[in-house]
Amino acid sequence: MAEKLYAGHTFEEVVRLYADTVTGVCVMRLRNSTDAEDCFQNVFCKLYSKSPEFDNDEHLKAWLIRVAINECVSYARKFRMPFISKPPEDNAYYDNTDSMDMSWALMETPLKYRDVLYLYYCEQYKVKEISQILKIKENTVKSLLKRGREVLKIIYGGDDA
Amino acid sequence: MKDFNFDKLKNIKTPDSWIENAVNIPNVQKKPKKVIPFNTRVVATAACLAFCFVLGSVMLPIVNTDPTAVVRPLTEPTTENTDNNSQNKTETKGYSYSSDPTLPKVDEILPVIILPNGETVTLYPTNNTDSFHSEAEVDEVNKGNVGSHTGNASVSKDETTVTFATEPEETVTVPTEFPTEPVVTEPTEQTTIATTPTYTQPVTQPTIRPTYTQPVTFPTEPTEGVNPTIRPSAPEQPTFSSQPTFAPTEPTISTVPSTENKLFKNSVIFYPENISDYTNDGNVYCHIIGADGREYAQKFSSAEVSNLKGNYIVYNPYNSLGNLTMEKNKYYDIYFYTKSHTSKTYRCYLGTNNYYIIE
Repeated sequence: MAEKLYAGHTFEEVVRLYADTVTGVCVMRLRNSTDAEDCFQNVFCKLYSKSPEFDNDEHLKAWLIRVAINECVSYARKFRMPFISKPPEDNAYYDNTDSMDMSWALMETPLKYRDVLYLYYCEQYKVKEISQILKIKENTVKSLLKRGREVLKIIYGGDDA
Repeated sequence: MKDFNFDKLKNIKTPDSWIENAVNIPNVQKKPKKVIPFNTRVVATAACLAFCFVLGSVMLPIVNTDPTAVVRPLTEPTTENTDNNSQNKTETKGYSYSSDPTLPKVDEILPVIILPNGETVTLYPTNNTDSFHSEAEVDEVNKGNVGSHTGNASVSKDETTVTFATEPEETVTVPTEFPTEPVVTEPTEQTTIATTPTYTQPVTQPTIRPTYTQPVTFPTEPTEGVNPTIRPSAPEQPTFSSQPTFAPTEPTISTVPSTENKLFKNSVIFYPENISDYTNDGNVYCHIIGADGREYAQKFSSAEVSNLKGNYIVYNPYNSLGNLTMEKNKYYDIYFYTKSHTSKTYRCYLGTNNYYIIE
C-alpha cells in the first residue's frame, strides 16, 4: 500500500517540517512542557488518523496550527490547569537568554493576544492569513496585534504603559 | 527598560524525543486489533444483561412508591419520556443513593419536590447543611405563551417540613408541557401543603402558597435534573376526587432560606472566548465539553451577544443556532470567560425542558 502523502510530504516529513510550529503553539498556549507534549502528539495523531487532503504546504500548516489550538483549548479545559506565572526554568527550547525572556514575556500576555502575536512574529503570517486560521475578522486581528504589542512591551520591559 | 525587538521572537525548538515519538505514530497505530471470538462476545453480552438484571433487582426495591410522601429523592437516574409523569410520588424516608460507579455521583442525583401547582423543583445542596434550597425554574422560552415562574423551596433535613415561597403578585401562564394529572392536592389554608395525599409526617411550619390568577393544570412532563440512562418503575398513582384548584391568596413567608446558593442562576452563563471587542465581530463562539468528553461549539449571533446581563450572555440551550443542537438529558461542562478575562467552569445538566447548574 502506498504511503499516504500530505501535500506531497510523507508523514515523517510533515512531522519534521512543522514540529517547531506545533510546539510553539502548544507551549504558548499551555505554558507547560509536559502538557504541550501531550497536545503535540495529539495533533499529529489526528493528522495521521484523519488523513485530510491538503492543497499545498500552507494549507497543511494552517490546518496543523488550527488543530493545535483546538487541542490546547480542549486540554486546558479538561484538566483545568492553573496558571503558574514564572519564567521557564529550562532553556531547552531557546537558543539564548534573550529568546527565552522574550518567549516567556509572550507567554505572560493574555491568551487572546498570544495567538496573534505568535503567528504574526514567529510564524510570519499576514493579517489576512491569521484571520482565516483563527476565524476572526481582520480588523480584530489588527486590533489584537496593536494591543498585544503594547502589553508585551510592558511585560518584557517591566515598565508601566 | 529592556530594549525590545520583535525580531528576536523565535520559534521554540522541539525536543528530539517529541519528534521521534510523533514519527513513530504510524507504527503504533498499525498494531492489529484484537479480534474477539464470537462466543466470547456472546458471553460478554450475556454478562452485561445479567448485571443489568441484578442491578435492577437491587435498585428497584429502593424506590419508594408511597404516594403520601412530600419529597422523593431520585435514587436512580431516569430516562426522558413523554408518558404521564410517574415520578410525582414522593416519600419522606431517608435518601438512598446507589454506589454504582456507572451512575451519576451522589451530588448529581438531585431530589425533586412537587410544588402545589404541580411544578417540579429540583433541590440543590447548599452550604447550609440543615436544609436544601432550590430555585424553581419553569421557564419555557420560545415555546409559545408560557411564562416563567421562580420561587424558593426549602426542605428541612429531617424532611418534616417543606416551605415554598414565591415572589408576591407573580402570575403564571399555564405551561403547556406539564403533566395533566395532579400529583398533590390543594394544601390546607394554614399549614399543610397538600390535603391528599397525606404525608407521613406533619408539616409544622406554615406553608407559603403561590399567587395564581387562574386555575392551574398540572404538567405531564417528567421531572428534570436526572440522568436519563436508568429509570425506576412507575409508582402507583393516587386517585383524586377532583382536580385541585388554588384560591388566590396572598402568600405569607414564614421562613426564608438563610443561605442562597448564588451559583444557580436562572440565566446562563456563556461568554464569547477570545473576543477582544465583540462589537466588531458578529459571530462569537462558546465551547462546551460534554459528559462524554467531546467538545461542542455553539455560535451566537450578534443579536444574542448584545443581550448581555452583567458579565454573562443569556443563553437558551434549546435554541438551535449555528452549527449545533445540544443533546438533552446530558451533563455538560460549561466553560466561559468573563469580561475581566477570568474563567470558570460549571457542571450543567441539560434536561428536557430546563437546564440545571450543578456545581
